[in-house]
Parts: sequence; C-alpha cells; structure tokens
Amino acid sequence: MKTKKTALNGGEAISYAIKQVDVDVFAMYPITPQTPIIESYANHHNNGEVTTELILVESEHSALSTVIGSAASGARSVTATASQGLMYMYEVLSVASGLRLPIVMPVANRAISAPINIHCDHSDAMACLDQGWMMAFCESAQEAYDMTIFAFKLAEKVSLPIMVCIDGFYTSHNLENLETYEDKVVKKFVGDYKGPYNLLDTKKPISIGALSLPNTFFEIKVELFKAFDDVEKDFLEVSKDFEKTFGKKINFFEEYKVKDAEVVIVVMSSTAQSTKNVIDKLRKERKKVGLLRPILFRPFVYSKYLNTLKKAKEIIVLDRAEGPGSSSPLYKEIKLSVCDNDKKINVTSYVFGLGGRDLFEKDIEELLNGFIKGKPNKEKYLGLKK
Amino acid sequence: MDTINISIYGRGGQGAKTCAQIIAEAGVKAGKNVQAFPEYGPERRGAPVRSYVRLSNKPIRTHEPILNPDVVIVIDGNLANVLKEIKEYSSPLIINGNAEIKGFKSKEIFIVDGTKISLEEIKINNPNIVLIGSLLKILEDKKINFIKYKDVEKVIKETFTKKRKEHFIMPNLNCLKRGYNFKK
Repeated sequence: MKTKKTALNGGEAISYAIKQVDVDVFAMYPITPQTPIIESYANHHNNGEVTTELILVESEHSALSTVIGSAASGARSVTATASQGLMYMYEVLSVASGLRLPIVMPVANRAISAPINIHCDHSDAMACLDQGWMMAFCESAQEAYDMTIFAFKLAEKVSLPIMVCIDGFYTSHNLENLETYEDKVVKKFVGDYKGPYNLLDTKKPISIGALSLPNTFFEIKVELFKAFDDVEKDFLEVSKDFEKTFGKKINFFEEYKVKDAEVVIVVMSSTAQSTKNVIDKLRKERKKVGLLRPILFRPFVYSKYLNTLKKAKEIIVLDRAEGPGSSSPLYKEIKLSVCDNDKKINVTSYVFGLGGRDLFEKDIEELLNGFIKGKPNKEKYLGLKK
Repeated sequence: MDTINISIYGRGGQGAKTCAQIIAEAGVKAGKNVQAFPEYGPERRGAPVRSYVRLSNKPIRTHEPILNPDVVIVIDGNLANVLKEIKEYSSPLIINGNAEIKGFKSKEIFIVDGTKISLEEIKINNPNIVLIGSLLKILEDKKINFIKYKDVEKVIKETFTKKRKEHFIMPNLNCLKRGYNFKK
C-alpha cells in the first residue's frame, strides 16, 4: 500500500481522514471553542474535494441534532466539537445513542467553565461518560487519523455513536508528521454505508424517537447497554481488518514496557507520549517501570486490563479531570479493573494539567522515582503553584 | 545533535505560527520528524506570542514548551529588549529590525532588517521569510543540516499556491534569498 508522508496538526489530520471517507453530512458551528477540524474541512469542501453536504448551524445543540436527523435518514454523518460546545450538546447525546446512530464525532478535549479557560483537559469528555457513546482517546495526530477511519467502521458495525478524542492544543493544534493512505484504500476499508433504516423510504414508513412508556422503555435501554458488551468482539474484528489493510494494529490500550514492570503509570492521550520518554530514561537506570495507555475508554474492557496489570506492585493513575466529591474517572476504572485480583496492588490517583497546565517530564520522573523509593508523592494535584 | 529546538517570538498577528509551520514543513521534506506549535493565550493582536519548532532524527514524543532553545527568532525586534527571557538565552538570536541591542547574554546575535526587505519585496511588513533565510544560513555555517534551502522554496510555492495567492511566490522567494545573504 502506498502512503504519503506529510505534516498536519491533529485537527487537520482528523479532517483529512473524514475527507477521504467523504461523509454525506457534516454539521458545523464555527465559534470558539472550535478546532482546525471544521476549518480545514470547509477548505476541502471549498476546493471541491468532497461531495459532503456542509450544514452551518446556529449552535452545537443544533449541530448534533442535525446529524442525528441525517444519520437517521441513512446518511454517514459527522460533527466536531470541544469544551463548552460539547456541554451544549449534552442534551442530545443520549438521543444519538438511544436511536443507535453511528455518528462519528471528533472532540478536542478542553476545560469547561467556570473560570473561562478552553485549554486542554479531559473534563468535557469525562462529563459525558455514560450517555451511550463509545469513546477513544488518541495520543497523536497519526493515531487520531487512524482512529477516525477506524471509528466509522466500528460505529457502523455496532450501531453506536463514537467520540474520537484528542488533547486540545497539544494535539489538535500541534503540527506533527503524518503518514496518510490512499483515498481509494480508505474508501474501500470503510465501504458504502447503508443505514439500518431510512426515514425517506415512503414504502416502509417508520417512526423514529417515538414515545416509550414504562411498559417498553426499560427493554429498549437494556438493548443499548448490551450492545456495549458486544463491542469488544467487533472491535477486534475491525482491528484485524484495519491491520490487514493498513499494516497497523489498533488496540484497546497500549502497553509500553509493562511486562516486567513493578511500577506502572496509567495515563491517556498526548501526556502518554511524554511519559514514554521518562520510561525510557528510567529503564536505562534499570528501574522497572512501564506505561499503560488506555485508548478505548467506552466501553472499558476491564478483563483485558486485569491481565496486563496483575503483575504490577504499584499502579499510578494520572487523570486530566477530577470527580469532585468522588474520584477521578480513569482512576475509578483502573481500580475496578484490578479489584478482583487476589494480590494486593496499590492504585494511587493523581490529577494534573487542568486548564492546560503543562506537566513536565521531570515532574513525571520525580513522581515515578518517589514510588520506586517507597516515598510516594502525597499531593494528589500535580504541578500546583506553591 | 539529534534534535534542534527553535523558539520564535512575535506579536499576535505577525505570523509566528506560520513561521514555525514553514520551518517544520521544510523539515518534513528533508525526512525529519517535526513538531510545531504556538503557545495559545488570549489571541490579541499585538500581544507577545511564542511559537516552537522541533526538528529531529528521532520520533518526537515530548509535549513540553521549549525552555532551552538552540536558536531563537525574534520577529519583532523591540520584544528582544522587552522580554527578559530573550536577554537570558545563551543560544544564537536572530533579531528582526534595526533596534539597538544591549545587555544580552547571547554571544551570537544576528540583526536582520527583515521589515525593510519585506517592505521592498512584498510591499508588506512580513519579515518571517527573510528571517527563515537567515536561519538557513546560520545553521548551514554551523553545519547543522535539518532543513534545506530548496525545501523552504518548495514550501513557499506550495503554501501560496494552496492559498491561491501565486503572485506572492516570487517576492517571498526574493525575501528568502536576501535573508540568506544577510551577511553580504
């Protein structure tokens, strides 16, 4: 397979993938906090590179509502958002999943107000965890490009919507090397989309989004919940296809030098890339450290995590979002993954980088060294000003 | 030397981000791993802004801002006198304009009047390409081969063709050349 080497920022990389898929409908609301995704897609459209129907709407609530409508009529549909925009969509998130519409929505993760900020953290996506959307977190422009292509096939196979998340600014606005595939190969991989039903088919009239009273509602919801149990199998199938076509594997999570690691750090998205530099450095000092980077966050494939983490002595979880009055979201999932194990594994939670605060590699190194020496950092919030 | 880190200082609207992007795209053409990102704040026209470029023979995984640049480009010469951090760099500084420079730690300060050159060539005050020309020359003299002159030329042609502003290609190529020959 021929590839092209180029450089794009994370937002443009996602946009390029959507361009190659040439989706039927893209609804956009161009206002801060938006990302280069819609800006560059509008350029593709303007240059006549796509046949997509671009629909400019008056709010994010309308953006998602629009693609819910188009997806329900059998069109392959996309919208993109971030931060407050995602918050404004919240009401209709569960409509997209409840109607089992395979909408692909890239999200550049950014802080939510107040105070007004819009810089990177995961508070926006984490606020939407259990609305019936699949979620994948990507570490780089390349992974975002690959995952976007992958997402169409997965979403359409399981009839569930998916958010493809990247770090706001750190990835969305960061120019990086990117290897793109040929249009025809991408098109062939995703194939033609034929929706499960078609609103415009007058021979088979149907009603969508109808009232469902206590005698039916529960069963319909349980069907949605059970669909998530099937994702694991379908994910692996799509992953196999992806590997066959593009020569790359997409996993539930990435393991980096975890096999014999005693101290394992768990962190998502772009921060995991920086963490790999630290792991390499400490490995040279013969310290047994490793990194586990969750990619698919919804569904969270607990059984696979236990298998990978059960040999660790210490697990350090770094969240870029907090659960006030509870625990941070990634920490909860990791804790739940290892709690069925006989062996006692310490899991410690830290929160970093809210509102775009940089986390430096030396800070990650110091944190890991603390655990190696048996003197873990007691402050949960990393990088606070003193 | 596996990686070169370049910091670019300008004012909002002067194109520090584009400058970083052009350098990075030329790096890609030379087969390098690249990273280019601006520091985002409130995007006010005229406020000081930083942009960063990394070019490397190895994959770039870090997402830190560049604190110890190998080369610094200052698009607005006056900023060099205003921002303390620029005065404290010991790395080579490429400074636009004709401002008087004193009290700098760096022993290699290159003053290039990109404003004058760009006004003559493009008829607008956009010294970025001139400064990239000077950067090419300075790196070449130090035998650091991360970007090539002909690749920057290609990027300029591509950038303006994509923007459908082909008439800007020649004047910008002239800027690049005059920036490269800044010592003459």
